[in-house]
Amino acid sequence: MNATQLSRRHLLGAGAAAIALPWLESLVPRLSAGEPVETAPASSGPRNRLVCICFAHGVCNQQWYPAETGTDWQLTPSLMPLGDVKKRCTIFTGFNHRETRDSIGHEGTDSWLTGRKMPASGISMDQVAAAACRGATRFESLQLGPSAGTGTRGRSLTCSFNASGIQLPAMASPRALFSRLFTADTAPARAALSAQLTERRSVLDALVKTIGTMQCDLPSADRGRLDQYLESVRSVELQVAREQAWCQVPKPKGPEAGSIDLAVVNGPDHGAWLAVMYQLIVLAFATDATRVVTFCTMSELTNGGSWPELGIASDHGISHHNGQARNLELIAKRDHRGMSLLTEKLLRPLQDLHEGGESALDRTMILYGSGMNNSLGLDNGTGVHSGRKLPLLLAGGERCGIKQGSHVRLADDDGPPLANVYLTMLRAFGSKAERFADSTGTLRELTA
Amino acid sequence: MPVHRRSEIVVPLIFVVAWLAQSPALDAASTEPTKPSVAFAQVHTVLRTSCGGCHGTDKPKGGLDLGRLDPDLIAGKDQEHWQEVLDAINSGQMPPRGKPQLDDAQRTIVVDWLTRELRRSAEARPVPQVMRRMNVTEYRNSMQELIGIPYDPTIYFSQDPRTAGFDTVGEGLVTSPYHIESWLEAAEAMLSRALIAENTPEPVRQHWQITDLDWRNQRIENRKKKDKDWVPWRKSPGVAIQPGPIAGVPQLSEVTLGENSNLLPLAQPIRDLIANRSWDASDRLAVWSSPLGISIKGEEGIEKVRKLAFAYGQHPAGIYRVRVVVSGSATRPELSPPSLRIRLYPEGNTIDAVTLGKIPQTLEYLVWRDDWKASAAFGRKGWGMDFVFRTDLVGDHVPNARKVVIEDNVKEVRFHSLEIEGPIFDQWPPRSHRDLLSGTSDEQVADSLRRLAERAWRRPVTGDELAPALGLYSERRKLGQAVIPAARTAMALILASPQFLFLTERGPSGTLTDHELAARLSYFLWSSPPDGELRKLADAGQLSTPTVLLAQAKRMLGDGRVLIGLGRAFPMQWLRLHELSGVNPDSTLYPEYDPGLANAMVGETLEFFREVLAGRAPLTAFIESDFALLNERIAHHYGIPGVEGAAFRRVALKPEWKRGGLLTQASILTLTANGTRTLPVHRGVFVLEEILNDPPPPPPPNAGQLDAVKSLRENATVRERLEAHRTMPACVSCHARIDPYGYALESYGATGELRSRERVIVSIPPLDRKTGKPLILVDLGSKYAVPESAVDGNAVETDAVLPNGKKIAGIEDLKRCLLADSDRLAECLAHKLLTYAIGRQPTFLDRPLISDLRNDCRRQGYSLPALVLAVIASPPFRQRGPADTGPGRK
Repeated sequence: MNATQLSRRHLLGAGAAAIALPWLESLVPRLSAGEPVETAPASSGPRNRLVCICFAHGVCNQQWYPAETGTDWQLTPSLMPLGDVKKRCTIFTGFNHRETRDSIGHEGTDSWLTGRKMPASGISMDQVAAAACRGATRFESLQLGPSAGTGTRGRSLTCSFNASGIQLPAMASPRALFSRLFTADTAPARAALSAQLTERRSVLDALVKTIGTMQCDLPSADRGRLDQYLESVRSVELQVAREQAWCQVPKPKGPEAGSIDLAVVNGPDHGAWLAVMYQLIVLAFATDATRVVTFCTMSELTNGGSWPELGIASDHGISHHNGQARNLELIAKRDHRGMSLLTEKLLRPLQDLHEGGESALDRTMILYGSGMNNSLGLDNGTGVHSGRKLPLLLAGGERCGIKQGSHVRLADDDGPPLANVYLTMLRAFGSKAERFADSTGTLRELTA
Repeated sequence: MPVHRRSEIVVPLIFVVAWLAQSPALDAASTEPTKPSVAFAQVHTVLRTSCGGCHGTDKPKGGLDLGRLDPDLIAGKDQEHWQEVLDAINSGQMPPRGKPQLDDAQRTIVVDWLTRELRRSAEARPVPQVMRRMNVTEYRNSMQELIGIPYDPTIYFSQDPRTAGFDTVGEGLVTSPYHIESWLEAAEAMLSRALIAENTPEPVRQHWQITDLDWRNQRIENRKKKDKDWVPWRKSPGVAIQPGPIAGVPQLSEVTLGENSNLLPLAQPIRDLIANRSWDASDRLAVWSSPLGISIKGEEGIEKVRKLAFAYGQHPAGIYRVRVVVSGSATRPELSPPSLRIRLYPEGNTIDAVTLGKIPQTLEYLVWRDDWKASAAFGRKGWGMDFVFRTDLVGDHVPNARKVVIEDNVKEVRFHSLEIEGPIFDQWPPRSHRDLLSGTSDEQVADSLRRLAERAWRRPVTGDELAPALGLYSERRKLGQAVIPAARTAMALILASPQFLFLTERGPSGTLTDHELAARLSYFLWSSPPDGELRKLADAGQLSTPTVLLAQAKRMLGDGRVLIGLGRAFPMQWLRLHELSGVNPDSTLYPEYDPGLANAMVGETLEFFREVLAGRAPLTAFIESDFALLNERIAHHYGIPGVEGAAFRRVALKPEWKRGGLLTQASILTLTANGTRTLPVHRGVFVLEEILNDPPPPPPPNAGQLDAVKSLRENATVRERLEAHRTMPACVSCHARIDPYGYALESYGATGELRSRERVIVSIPPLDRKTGKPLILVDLGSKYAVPESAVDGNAVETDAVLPNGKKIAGIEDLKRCLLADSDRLAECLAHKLLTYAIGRQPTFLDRPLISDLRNDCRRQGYSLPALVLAVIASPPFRQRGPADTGPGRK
């Protein structure tokens, strides 16, 4: 958050009824239609990227966690699909967020990337990264989720929170995502888009004036709402300016329209939808449309998704497995399928995507995990659905400085917080952050 | 954890208690209806004796000195710490292992007191009413009303969170950059479609009709053989069906599956547009040279489906009407009938799901279609629809062969007629254009902008307020833009403004102005903006006159828009019907379940609610009724004979059918199950929250875990598992309140089917635990030829002891008990209607009013429309809520 925003928020928060009309205009940094744009496309630096994928309901511990630590660990049944990508991954055991590890397990998604309890959430890790590469791509970050929106506490549809702690809504439809990412790259299409964006900038510009005409005797809570609206308008102004600058730059070749089944929806066949969403993430990277993606694959506390090919009607249903062998077996199958989709549709395609002499996976950190541990009760009798010992995997990003290939297991719950992993990733990504959430430093095991 | 870092100096407990004894807050509290079952003194004793060793004044562990926590949860500052104390006790973390544990009585004392006080504390700290933005439903309806085309700009919108159960509560309706972009795009998309560029020639309206498409019977009764554009159908063996005349009354199908469907019901102007046209024979001239392609496809993925698809080519943009007359039947009618899912391309979204019956039904949709260059369906230019039919698979177990012979249960699906007609408009340019823009002179544009702003912002608009829009228009003109694109840009500004998107309420001294009242009324009853009549009354300052307000409310309750407002948006949320789309019943256990059945379930509950809303039954019918609103599909699901066709109608119930009221409706029973088994806890919570308005405390951390499971046998019943759960002291106090209601509903399975035994999946037939003999397989078939199959499991038990100690044997007893206390349902509805109407959570200050509403409702014979009118007449409906925050909350 920059200083201007802080001071405005501060003023509003003070509830100063005396603030007169012009406060709105004077405090909002403005971009009028003709003004030059601050963002410069096509940065020449390395394309460091980040994907954070949060799945619901934890895993079947017995079949997920390797027995060995260090670099000698063996693939367990659930991790088996990784195959030779194993050496490019790190498995974590025992990490948690101090503030939220004892909340209801289903709230794990809410706090996964923030380390903070909703509703008082802070900025999420991906947004710190997005700020670090601001202006480098057309979209600062993308949020994907099981259905469009933000959801609510315990049923979040997104893992991203901006600097003001507002949850950023996710997109769920492959078609919506596709049309946002890829537009025809012909000269007439560019001209039409440019004209449309110019028009939109003039509307945004006039919007700020319109807000200025609203009476300002609003109660402070209402002013807070208007403030939120204005902040959002400003952020869209920047986005439109970026897109306009982008419009003129030749883009990397986009995908063939027919190569992806955009009609797939989430719900009846969760796996089929996951595959398409992963494909779209790869395409977004291939065209350098963005460098930061968060993907909440399933909402907690709903029925979750169905995996018809595994005979699972309700992901949430089996998560209350009661220690029953049949349920645990189904969960393990689900974990295996999830890992196989991750490997085949995301990790390998990124490994095969070459740009400037390196593979995209070399510069992409993929965090894959859940905000819940769902089998703790079976090892030590303290109950299941826990916020401790979160299942977590980090893949790729070696050229950003991540040392891969080991299984990092903490002796107990009070070892380094999960935020240390995040801080390590942020630093590797290129952020100057000194700390994140409750971090106490970077993680030695990841930094070689 | 914050509890470890307390640094404030708090007055020692003893003084706090002494001070409290005289405080007015306590006096006020003592008049509360909640009975003070536990005094703090008792709690204090338990905490001191059991926890004081570690959490006392001397070096308290974790920095937590329980004696220093302020026992006043209303005025004090320690609510969060108390919540953590409750969580720690509930989850069994405290007292720690190895230390003396709380006994049941001690635990009950602390947990009951904390639960009650935390709830009171939450009520006493009302969240302030904030200016709220429109939710997605209201936005869509408003845009369609203002712009006048049946285009849905919200298909990809972010769905709104519900606060206190409703998406009209402002607290949760935040604005993010994604929202701003969505609104801008939506305004551009709709305006560019509604405003016709100058010199655009009038498009030719066309009408295609194809009759008698009969799947199975591969003969296409093509009355106009000269059509050369047919894609030939794939040959497959089938039984020839006699073509017959089209019978049955056309019926407007209501879409209940998708929240974002592109369909009817329409906003008023569109209905006028269609209704005011007279269609004569000449309109019906079929244009058989159209490039209309039809194809039929076989299996799709793993689902056993067949698909009829059409796509058609060169067409102008506009409103199209699609009418399909279709029927179908099953080989084995005792199983489920075939159903049809209809998808619209290029979007690919499901717009309807219906069940086919012998009686042909007419499905009609009005859709906006972009011109053929902008659309691509099935890999070519144009738009299309596909019709996917899925059916029960009939399976027979072959003894010892461990396999199932599968046969398709569809006997026939017949498309009697498929008609496409459009673009539909009254004259050129169409009314939607003329209503938006009266002409191209500067005065006319300025006048049009003012009219749009006044309609969109729901009030008169000053010159200053309009200046930015006019300024934008002239700026665009100066830059060389033509009149219509420049006007469109200025209109987009009006529709992206907070004046439109936020339902601002800031009348003097907290009372709503007439215009604000008009908006509140119309969004409450219609989820749509005020119409001309309301606007006129508001302009004249007459709407706030009580008699006028009441007369308007009555008029509006009789208008069709109630079907998308209070008759839909409210029950969808109150009864959580949205959640049904997230339940995917296991296809081995519940092969009868499909989107058509889900749609019929939601349809039944909505129709039932509307019956009560129309005053044709008292609201006690929600608990028990001797009638139901059924169509063929849902009646078939219930095993109720004699109901034919897709239309819902009132059916008198016989006691042996064991239906009546809301709780026995399949929709609610399915969404309180997980697709595999019933969830008695969820059902119990549903009764407490939605019928009795007595929400149980949220589950403690780690809830849902059954530590005692190891002692359970592998095929223990749902109930046995829960009872094991209840033996844990941490769980018992809440579950004794919740579970009995769920047990009474155990005679209904996970899709609401009546049952006496659980349905379970096994690989080998299990033995009956009483007789020791193998249980008989239920003939449900299976999707795969695998040994897994659905069988009858253990018998369900429905007896329970209600929290008041009353023993009940099952659903009838439960209904009797709930009926005897109908006031609680009336109070529950008063509370929920008020929340939904005024957009904030009621506080304890609203309690007297809610009691009055309840009493008034009872005096009026428990009439729901009377309750709705009483809510509208109540003071909070005409006022803004508490404007600002209590201490410590922003």
